[in-house]
Amino acid sequence: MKTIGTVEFTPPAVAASDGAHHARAAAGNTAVTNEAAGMLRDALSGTAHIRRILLKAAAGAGKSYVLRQLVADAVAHPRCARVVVTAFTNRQVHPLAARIGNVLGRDRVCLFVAEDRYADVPVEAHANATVVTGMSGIPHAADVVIATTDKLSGWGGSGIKKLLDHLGPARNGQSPFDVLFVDEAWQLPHHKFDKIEAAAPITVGVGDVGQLPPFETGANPWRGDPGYNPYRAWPTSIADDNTTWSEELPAVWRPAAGHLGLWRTFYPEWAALDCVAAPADRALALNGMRGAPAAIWRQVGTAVPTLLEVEGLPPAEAADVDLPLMETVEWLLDRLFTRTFALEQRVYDAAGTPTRKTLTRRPATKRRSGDDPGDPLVAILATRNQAVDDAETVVGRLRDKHGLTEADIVSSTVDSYQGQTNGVTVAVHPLSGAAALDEFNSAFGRLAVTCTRATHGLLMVTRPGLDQLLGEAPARPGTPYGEPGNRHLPRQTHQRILATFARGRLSVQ
Amino acid sequence: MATKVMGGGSSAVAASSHAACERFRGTDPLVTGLTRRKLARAVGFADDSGRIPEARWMRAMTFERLVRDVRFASKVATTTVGALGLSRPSEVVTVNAHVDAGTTARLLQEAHARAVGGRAATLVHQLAVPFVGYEETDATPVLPDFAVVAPTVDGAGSWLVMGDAKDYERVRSKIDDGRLLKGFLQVALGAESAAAWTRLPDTMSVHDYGVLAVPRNAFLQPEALIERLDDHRAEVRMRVAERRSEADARPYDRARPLPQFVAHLDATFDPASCTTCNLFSYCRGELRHSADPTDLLVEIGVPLDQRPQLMGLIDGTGVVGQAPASTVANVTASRDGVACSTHQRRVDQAGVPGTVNVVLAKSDAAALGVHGMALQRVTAEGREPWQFTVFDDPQSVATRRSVMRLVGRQLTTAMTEQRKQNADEPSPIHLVVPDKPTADVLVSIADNLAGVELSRLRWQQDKRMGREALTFDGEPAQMPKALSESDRTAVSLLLEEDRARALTIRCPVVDVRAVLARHVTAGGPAVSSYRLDYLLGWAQSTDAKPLDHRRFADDIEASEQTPGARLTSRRSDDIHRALAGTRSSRRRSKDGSERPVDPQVYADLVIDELEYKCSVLEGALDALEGVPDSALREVHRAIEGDAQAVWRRRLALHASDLVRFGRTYRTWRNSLVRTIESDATCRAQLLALANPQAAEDLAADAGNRHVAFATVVDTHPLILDVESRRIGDGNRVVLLHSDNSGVACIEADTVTCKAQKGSFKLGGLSLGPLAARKGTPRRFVWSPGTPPSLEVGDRVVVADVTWFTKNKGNNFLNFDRPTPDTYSAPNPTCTAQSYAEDPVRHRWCCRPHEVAEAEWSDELAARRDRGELNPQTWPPVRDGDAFEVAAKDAPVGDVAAPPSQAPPDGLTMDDLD
Repeated sequence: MKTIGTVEFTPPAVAASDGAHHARAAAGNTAVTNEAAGMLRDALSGTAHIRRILLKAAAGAGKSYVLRQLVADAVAHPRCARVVVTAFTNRQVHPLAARIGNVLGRDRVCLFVAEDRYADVPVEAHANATVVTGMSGIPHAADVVIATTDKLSGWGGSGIKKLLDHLGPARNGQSPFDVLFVDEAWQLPHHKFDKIEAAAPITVGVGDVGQLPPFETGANPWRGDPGYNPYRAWPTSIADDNTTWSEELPAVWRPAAGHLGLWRTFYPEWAALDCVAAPADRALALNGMRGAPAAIWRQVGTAVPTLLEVEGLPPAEAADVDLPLMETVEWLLDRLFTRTFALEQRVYDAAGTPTRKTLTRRPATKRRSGDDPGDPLVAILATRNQAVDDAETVVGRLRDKHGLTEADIVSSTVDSYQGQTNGVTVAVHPLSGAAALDEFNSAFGRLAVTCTRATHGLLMVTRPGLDQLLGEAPARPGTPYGEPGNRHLPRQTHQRILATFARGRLSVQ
Repeated sequence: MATKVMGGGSSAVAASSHAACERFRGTDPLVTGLTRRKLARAVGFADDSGRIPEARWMRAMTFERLVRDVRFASKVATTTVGALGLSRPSEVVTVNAHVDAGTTARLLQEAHARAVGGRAATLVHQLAVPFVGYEETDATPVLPDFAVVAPTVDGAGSWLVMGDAKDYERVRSKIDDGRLLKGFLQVALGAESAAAWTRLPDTMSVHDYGVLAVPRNAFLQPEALIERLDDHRAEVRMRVAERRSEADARPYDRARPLPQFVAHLDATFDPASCTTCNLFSYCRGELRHSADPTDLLVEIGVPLDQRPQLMGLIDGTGVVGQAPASTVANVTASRDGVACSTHQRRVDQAGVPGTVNVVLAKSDAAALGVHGMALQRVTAEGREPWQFTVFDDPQSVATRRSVMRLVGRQLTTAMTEQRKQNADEPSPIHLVVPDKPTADVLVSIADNLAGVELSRLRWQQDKRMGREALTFDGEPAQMPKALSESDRTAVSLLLEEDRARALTIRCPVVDVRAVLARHVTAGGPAVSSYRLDYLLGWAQSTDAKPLDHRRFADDIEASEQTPGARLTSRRSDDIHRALAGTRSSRRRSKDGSERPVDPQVYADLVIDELEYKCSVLEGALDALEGVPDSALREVHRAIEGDAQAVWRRRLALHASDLVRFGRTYRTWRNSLVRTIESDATCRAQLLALANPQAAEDLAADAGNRHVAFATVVDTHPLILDVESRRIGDGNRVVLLHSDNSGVACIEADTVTCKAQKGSFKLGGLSLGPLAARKGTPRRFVWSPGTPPSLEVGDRVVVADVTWFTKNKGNNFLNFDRPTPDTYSAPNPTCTAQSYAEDPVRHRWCCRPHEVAEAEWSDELAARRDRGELNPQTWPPVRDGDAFEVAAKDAPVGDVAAPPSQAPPDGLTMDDLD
């Protein structure tokens, strides 16, 4: 690829320079977690009439850690015999089983999966939990049962009743479990939640409120309907009654400090959102790179979200299936992997205080079998089917050429990447090449997932014309009237998000 | 100094809609000093498209009057204050500023003093506020319809909540979000202007939220909707700044002739969205006379990114790039003057015995007003004569009941005949209409009467229990008449249609326009094909009698009548004047209160209008008779038949048959999710199988992974080049369409279709696996179970078999039969006595409405006793049912009461819609 001229970046119009870092930031989450744990204990003891506990987390707030703590607290409570932990997808429940089992022990945790998904269960889950495919295989001694919501509600919707028949009532005397934990709760539609709600008298929902809404097949005819909407995330319909306790976790662990401004745009109503990482805690160290790629990766390495406009490309098949732009991404990544680079980060203790250690990760590092590969260094995220296939092809070629593994680079649909973390994220901006604002390119949940995966850097690429589009496109409604969610308009939301990016332009031939 | 014409609230909407157009920006009234309408006249293209029908104008004025009515004003103010989390006001005062800025400033001062001193809320009507940024100049002001002033929670200041009244129609009980956005943008301009006004009291702040008063029901009684305005205000700020900088940067030199000035500015034309601009006709005329033939693509609205691919169709080279087949057909038809066939065969039920054709003339004066209706039943002997009815009081309850009675009688007869043909499994019945708005009016009337009937059942229980019958808001109710069985048949079928709105294969009501559009692609702007007479003209075009798409479009636009429910502005005005009279005609008549004021003219006009609609509908049915039946027509009929069997049980036992879609309850909605999903999948599969053009569109869609184009490279063995990065080695594909036959593969004589309990099974299609060939990516050997007849070079459409079925064989293609909505419906074994004999067991299947509403009436009474309902509770609670029942003495909007008046010249539909 031939580039013309140099690439210069303008700093973001909006940057978050306020707020706490390190232990001061992390203490906010600890306080809320302790409060939630206290509520759960009181609810189990019967001293507080609480039926639901909702913990709202921003992306990368460490909610999985909080969930593990609450599960461990619950099963240690004398009035709790058994709990169930669920999430929408297998991809979400498998790591839960591995991590909870790691804390409580293999015999106390049972992962209940469908027969045709047994082969997908990772080694770590097998090592830390009893994995069964039939209900009769669930041990009575298991304190924690983990399964997808579809698995729990199987047998034509009578799954919970069958579990009650098999396991008998828990300590509460009526339901098979004493607490129902729902991970990624805001991704679970109400019609699915309704089928499992009877599992326990107390429900704890933990999730990211700013990201992907539940998946919809076909039209959602109740959009904007003031009444019950089966497609909505179930916690959004919970009334502010006195049997529900709900709180936000006010800090995030994942992002570099320079990303906080971007993070905040996805949680506009939150009173506070701090970042545990302080400026200069993370770095992308480059070695011997020159020209435009060096300028671009140096900018990404500053940990400020980076938007690269690429001009001079041949036309794309469609606005959101843009092979030439994906090839530009491939070229940039090829340059990055050709030269050695490293992702560096200060290591914190559990309270968020920096230790003296620095973690350095490099591509193509040899590992022993059984080693945790950790989060991938680079992820390419795409939205539409064909674009995902193209990204997959790019990743395949890069792996072949540079001897890389999934620890170095992966590609994924945005929708199946919720909850994942990586070092550097590369993605095509949803408005690239678009002729108007539409429902798909203004789906901010999907954009939020794309923007909030990275610990070190975010590179978004686009064809030129974003500002013109945002200046000229006819206004379109945001969240339909009557639906939960903020009342912002798509144009202004896009503008607020873009204002947090450093921007540069690459000319190619 | 001349007054600067700012264009009021609608200017904010227009500036936002047309910001991409340099000509629109450059001809801003701030630049030219002329309103856009006057500018259009000045350049020789007087604009008539955005003209407001008189009946529509009278409706808007009636609604504004109702908002000012003291009873509603108080309700709007308290609902707003309650929804914003403010304290209950000590009283609500209503004042009117009569669109005078000085009076507005004084009244706001007084309202502020009342709020701070006495915690009172004030509703100020008809404000005038200097346009933001132009307070010091002689510019036309912003004229918000109303604003609410209320004390802050701490009592130290007051909030000013800006508002507007918009008589937006509810389509199937919902106001479109796009409309609400336009309304709130206008409110935002008011808020932005008020916030910048120096004459606002010091401790009065403009609230972050704004309020729109919209009709709650068919009687135009208002309700308040509130919305956060931060981004709306940012949007109008951005547009006002743009207008200002445009005016400063490129002022109009008055010495230069206006036509020359306007022609110099580049237009961004779109035939769909530009119609709300006064220069639409001017820009279209310019394109029509352009020397560049490829401007045709702009004129008919081909999207910018597809134009390069389609140039070849216009410039004579014939080379076409990757573009949707429907767009290629649209351009080809425009060029040749002959419609293009989609090559789909018929799957609809229009024109078959058991259908009832319906056309109606909707009144612009009311959401549910009907001037007249014509009905025609289709029997085994063919179409019966049309039956015409003219309604002298279009928006009355009696008219709505008559509409349902007439439809109900025809449906009952149709059902009886279908039973005679097959007593055990009668074929389904259908209403056949010329467009979607006709169906929407009928369904909305059905919903209205169902709500009245259910309310009646509740109030009857009140009477039985010795309670006063009260509306949801606690006002005395007026007991309506009962719904007769024949009326109920119509109401119930139409609510079945409403509940089936998310089920795309269902068709209790058949929209003939959509059916015809499935078979032909017309020339000219695609948006024009939303009129049935336009589409029909194209369907009748032949090589021997081609159409000039421009002349034909002009003829259709000039036509006095329309094929659908809505009337042309001219016809609407004539009919409304004959109904309500004008000031002069009322003076001449002996008794000005008689309606119609001119009965003969009124009836003649309505009949003439209906006759046109009937002739177009029949013309469309005739055109459809020329299209052969698809092998899948019986599949569609079977799916509708499954669902109507359930509906007949609901109707017979009065069990949940009067429930509109929006009133289905929680568990019912949960169960509908599965039904909707199975419908969506089945519809997409049926479309790809039966409609070659739709399948080609899917194949051309880069984001689609199931359907792809392929080219035959060899026939022995069969080798395909597959144009998909997803479908490849090891995948099994089915041949959907090949260009050597012209019709879908499903239509071949050798193809069989068997309806099974849970699926449909197709035999005789070619399906089988693809196998890679070394060194030739995307080229595969294909081994179908049934070899197709193909030739080298054929371009075909194939689909991934796993999209249809998990079955492994290569002889049959199965796809799932969608599940009907059986929730809360009687089982086949339920009888009229089942519920009475065993109410516990039959509570969720055949419990009749009579019992359910009586129970709910008792529950409401208990809540009222506990002080949980309006007006006792604060903040006010919303009525989830939103039935269209008014309190006994509530004022009702009667649009035809005053004589008809023309709307002011400066206003366009943008100001109302």
